[in-house]
Amino acid sequence: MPAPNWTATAVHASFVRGDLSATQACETALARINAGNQRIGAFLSVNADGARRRAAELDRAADRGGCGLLAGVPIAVKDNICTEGLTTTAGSRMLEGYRPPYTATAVARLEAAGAVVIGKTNCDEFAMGSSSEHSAFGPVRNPWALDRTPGGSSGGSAAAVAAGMAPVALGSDTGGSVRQPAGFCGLVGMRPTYGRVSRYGLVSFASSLDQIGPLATTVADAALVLQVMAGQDDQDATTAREPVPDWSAALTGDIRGCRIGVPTALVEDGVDAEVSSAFAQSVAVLRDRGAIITGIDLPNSALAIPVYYVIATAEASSNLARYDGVRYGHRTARAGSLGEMYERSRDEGFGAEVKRRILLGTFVLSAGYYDAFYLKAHQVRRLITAELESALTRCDAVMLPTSPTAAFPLGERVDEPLQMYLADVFTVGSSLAGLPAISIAGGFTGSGLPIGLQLIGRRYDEAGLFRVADAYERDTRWFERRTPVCDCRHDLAG
Amino acid sequence: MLDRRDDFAIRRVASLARLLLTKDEEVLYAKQLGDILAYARQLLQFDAASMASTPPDRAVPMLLREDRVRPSVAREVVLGSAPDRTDDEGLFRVPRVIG
Repeated sequence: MPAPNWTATAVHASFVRGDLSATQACETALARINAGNQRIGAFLSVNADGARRRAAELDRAADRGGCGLLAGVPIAVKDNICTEGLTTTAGSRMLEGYRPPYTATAVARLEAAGAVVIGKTNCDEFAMGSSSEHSAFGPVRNPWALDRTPGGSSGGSAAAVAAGMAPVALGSDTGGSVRQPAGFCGLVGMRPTYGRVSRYGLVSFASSLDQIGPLATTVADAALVLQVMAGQDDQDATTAREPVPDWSAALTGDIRGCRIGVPTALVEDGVDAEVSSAFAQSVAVLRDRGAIITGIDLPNSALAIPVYYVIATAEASSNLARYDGVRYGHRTARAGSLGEMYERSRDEGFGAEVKRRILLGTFVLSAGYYDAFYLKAHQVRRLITAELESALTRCDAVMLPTSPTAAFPLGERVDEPLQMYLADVFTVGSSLAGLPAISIAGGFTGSGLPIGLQLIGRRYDEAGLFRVADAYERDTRWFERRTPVCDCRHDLAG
Repeated sequence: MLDRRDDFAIRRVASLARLLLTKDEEVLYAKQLGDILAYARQLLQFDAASMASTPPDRAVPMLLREDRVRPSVAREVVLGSAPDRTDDEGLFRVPRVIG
């Protein structure tokens, strides 16, 4: 089986060699979006004219090799990441039609490296959700099974890549919103260390947790996209001055002696049998490659869900206070007074899940409950962080399933918010700790649904995660499977 | 301390959050948020004293750059996103607050 050619790595190499023009790559992406988006709902807007203009510019360049690491590569961008002049709605009526006056640093760096923004992808409103059903503009469907969720909140980005509409996409991950959709769609999704990628231009949800990350078919592609985006940014004071290493150099396939910790008790509790079985097989793959597998204990990790939903909603209630109908976003047409304008604009602009989270966050920050919930959550956050960091002194990575189940049916949990939240059990811990984590395709269920495998690494050791993930990918090659609805993921001619 | 679902004071919280809720929404959110908070109560079993020895937050230290003047987004561009504005003075317009 040859390597897939609809990856960022392959498209860029073909562009540099002159085998493929940026325009051809762009037209391929646009044609696939045109053919499949009505069924899948991955894109909220398509940047056809802008993408064609940019692709034509790249094709006119005298030195194609000098156009950047992603020259000629179409890329999809989650619609909560600002793009100057292109609508950025964050999946909300509140921002319907909003065109930001500036571009997010992450996107600006990708464009400067020659990437072509092909469109903006659907997501849960303000990135609040785990199924992409909480978008004001309709749900996203999973290309592997159209009656199921692609995960969320970056479900549109995941579905776009899984369906072959773009080789790579950007998502944002607050409590698992890149990794869980990657797992549900058979992709690679990377949440970098907190501070690795600038949040400038990312529509704020929970600022101590939000990070932008790539979704891709292969580990090499995820490493390439992150390489371009990462690094200190004057516009975001929480970005790290840590040097950005050459992550492609980490993809050696050699993981002999690498110590991988498995929190045995955690992965045995409440995990679907097929996910469990795939996880055990993945452990064996890594052991056969020479990794040393050790059992570890993370006794406080079960508390990560309540801690996360207290802290994230508290931050959200504060961040979303800016939507008041004054400077941008939706304003009600039925307001007599200023106070009424605020309330009606927010009532009309926000959807149910966003309102729920604002209410919860307001409650845990309110007098009488701040100490009991918010302060306590911060204290337990420290415990969870210390526990994970301690485990990572004894091993190089912690391995977990990405989610307890494969993709669940659309509608199954949309009216049961607590059940939806519990599905994040394996992803929120590393988010709270600010540690990097990657989800990779780790097998399939008997009915053909992808199963995600997750690795958590040390602070700023994305290289270690890429190395292990790439070694696993070399032996399993799950990316060769094709979605039943879009049999075009790997072929440019498709 | 929060013991029962109906202790989620939905109207007070909605007012603090500047959210206007219908009666049906009040009932629904009070129940759902009560369930979520009942689940979150497991955090309360931890007493702060036992956590005094845990390391401080390892969040990335805030690195502040030097202040320097540089161009910002033009006033006209910012006002271009406003739901309502004054045409001549370059201001956001909101319902009258005084008199």
